[in-house]
Amino acid sequence: MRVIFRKSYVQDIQLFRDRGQAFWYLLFAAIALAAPLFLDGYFLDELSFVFIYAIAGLGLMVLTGFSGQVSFGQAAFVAIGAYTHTILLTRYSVPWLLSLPIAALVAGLVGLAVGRICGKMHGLYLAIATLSIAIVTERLIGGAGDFTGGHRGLSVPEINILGLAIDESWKVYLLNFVIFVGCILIVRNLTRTRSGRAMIAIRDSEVSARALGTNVAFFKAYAFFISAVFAGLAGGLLAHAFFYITPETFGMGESIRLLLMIVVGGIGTIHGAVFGAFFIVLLPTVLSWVKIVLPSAVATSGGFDSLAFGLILLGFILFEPDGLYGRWTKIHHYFNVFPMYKKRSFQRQKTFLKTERLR
Amino acid sequence: MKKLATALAFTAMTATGAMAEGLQGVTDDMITLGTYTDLSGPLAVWGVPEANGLRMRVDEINAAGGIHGRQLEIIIEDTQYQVPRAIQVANKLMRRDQIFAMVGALGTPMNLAIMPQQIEAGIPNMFPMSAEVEMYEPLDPMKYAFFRSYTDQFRAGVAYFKENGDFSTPCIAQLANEAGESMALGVTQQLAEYDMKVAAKTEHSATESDMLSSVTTLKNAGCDIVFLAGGVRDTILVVATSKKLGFEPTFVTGMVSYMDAVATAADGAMDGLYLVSPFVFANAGDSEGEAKRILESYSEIYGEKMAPQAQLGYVFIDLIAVALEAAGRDLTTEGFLAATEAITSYVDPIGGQSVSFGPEDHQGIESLIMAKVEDGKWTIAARGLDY
Repeated sequence: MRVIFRKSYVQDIQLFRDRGQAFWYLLFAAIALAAPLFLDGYFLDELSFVFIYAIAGLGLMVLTGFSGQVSFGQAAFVAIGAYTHTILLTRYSVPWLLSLPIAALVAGLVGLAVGRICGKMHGLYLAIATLSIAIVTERLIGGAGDFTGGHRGLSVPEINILGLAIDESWKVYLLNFVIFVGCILIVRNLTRTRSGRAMIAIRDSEVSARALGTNVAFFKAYAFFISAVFAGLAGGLLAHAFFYITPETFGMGESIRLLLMIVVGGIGTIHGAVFGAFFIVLLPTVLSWVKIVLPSAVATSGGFDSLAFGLILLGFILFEPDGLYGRWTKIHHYFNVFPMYKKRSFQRQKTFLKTERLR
Repeated sequence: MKKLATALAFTAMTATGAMAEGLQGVTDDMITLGTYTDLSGPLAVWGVPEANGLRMRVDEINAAGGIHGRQLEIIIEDTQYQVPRAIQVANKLMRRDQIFAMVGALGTPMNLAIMPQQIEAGIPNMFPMSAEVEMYEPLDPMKYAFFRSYTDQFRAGVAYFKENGDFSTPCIAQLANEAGESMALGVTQQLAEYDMKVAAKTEHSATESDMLSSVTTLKNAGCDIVFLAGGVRDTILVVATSKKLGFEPTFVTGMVSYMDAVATAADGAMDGLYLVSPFVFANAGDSEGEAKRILESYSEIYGEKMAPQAQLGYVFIDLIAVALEAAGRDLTTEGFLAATEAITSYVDPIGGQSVSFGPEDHQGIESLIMAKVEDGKWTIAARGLDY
């Protein structure tokens, strides 16, 4: 096990812990960049979905994982981003490079308004409020008639950046990858700043955070804003990946899928959002391989995918509430300190949280 | 002119290399077809029997030696009626499984999302399980639809009741989705022909479990005919709730509800419900000959009555087989599509509806029927509806 000798506070806010870590992440980035050389279009499209979902997941991670506000309405912001982006592109011929940030900003402002309203709610009440936002948004978009295309939906034009058509899988893949990496850096940066630390303080104990002088209402709304900006950005990219958007696409189911994604990935960590996205997007592909070896009666029965998904989810909630990333850190730690591993290392210490559970 | 346009489109596609392989999904002894449908979501009641029907006809054809020495294979993927899932599985079908054609893909939003890239990849979209007008319009060499559109169905329904019995205060109970919108559009369009307006219109969502407010609105408006522009569950709920409130106008709905579960729902409350459909839901009891054989052998294989969706699945593959037969051993996508376009006198072996295509007509079924629930069973009230 490697112990870092701390010489200055700057070390605490470095992007990478040490050179080894930096090496691994840069290696991953290099492999990801080179992926179009050895993967076919199908896998590149799948990975594009992973990146886009990871962006939406990062947003939700800021909200739920960092500031501790549960949200069943993330898909509403994704929808707002997707629709704003598509409408700007098709109806107002706004350039792509401008349209995407505007879409993210519009979603962010709606998120800010929602955050301001819901900021005083906790737990179950917040869950219900955000859930209703998901439902209302879907209905509003559907009922808005010609402006949003109603329930019939809108078709999404191809990505075109400054006259350069992004029309092939590998181009879309690279674009999504670059934006994805940018988003990770932003969130990573957020956790190192004052606002990020304020959010975590609010998550761990609102009373203590307030006592320490943190503006709770502001940072809660701020978390909603950031989260919705990411969702809107993901929405804009998702619209291109879907080619056609309808309000149903961003229904309640999608919100719940996003929430499950960060829970399975490991709540409260950046890795969690990424691992969760891999899980959600690639599981059907993996299952389709599993199906080949299964007897055809099982493989062709309808509910197989849902059943497998449900069982895996159940397994995580029962046996590994820290998610995929939590499991990974434990395994990593096990080998790091071998043979001195003790379960207690990962026991939750902050028992004072219990007093605030039911608010 | 259209022929020329078709030819040009093909040349263009070949030129850009989209069809460079040309025979994706076809080997010396196998033709691979694909579909995506809902096997475990809200429309599984449509998707599961459809998948069975598709498989049954494929198995029959293979047992009889295949087509021009090639066996058929159909890969069926589950979308859970979600667009994101549909995109993923369609991507898999087109790129990994390398299918020759998409047959009976279910869901309007899914088809609308997937069709553009599918057509670009040179994979024909045959007989999607959606009665939206976009399934055959604008005319495209790669698009063939089976059903007449929801809008047409409701226009014909309005016209039928205008001629038979008339009405004075027509109303609409619409499901808030794209299908409901198209259906309601048909009603308003046809009413406009008679200079009439909708007296009252209510909207409900697919998840609503209480239709009291909708029904009360319709009742207070004094509707004498209500067009149910919606799906299965909401149709049952609206009709049953109305019966309870003593509100009994004529109820008319579209093909989505054409299944036993609707006819037998709520202890006979559905009696008298009318439905406009492009296809006929055949019963083994009233059928004879080939239809009877198909219906009975389905029950034998799958242990249940052959649902209308299974009948559709069966007919879809049957139509594909007819086109593949005609296209010959030297199969090309163009040849297959030309053979489909040349189908003009196909009669659906189960329901007896005639199907025809043409250079400017990529929509198969020509006439509509009016079905009615009597004693918990669907009967045919009229054939050959139009407007």
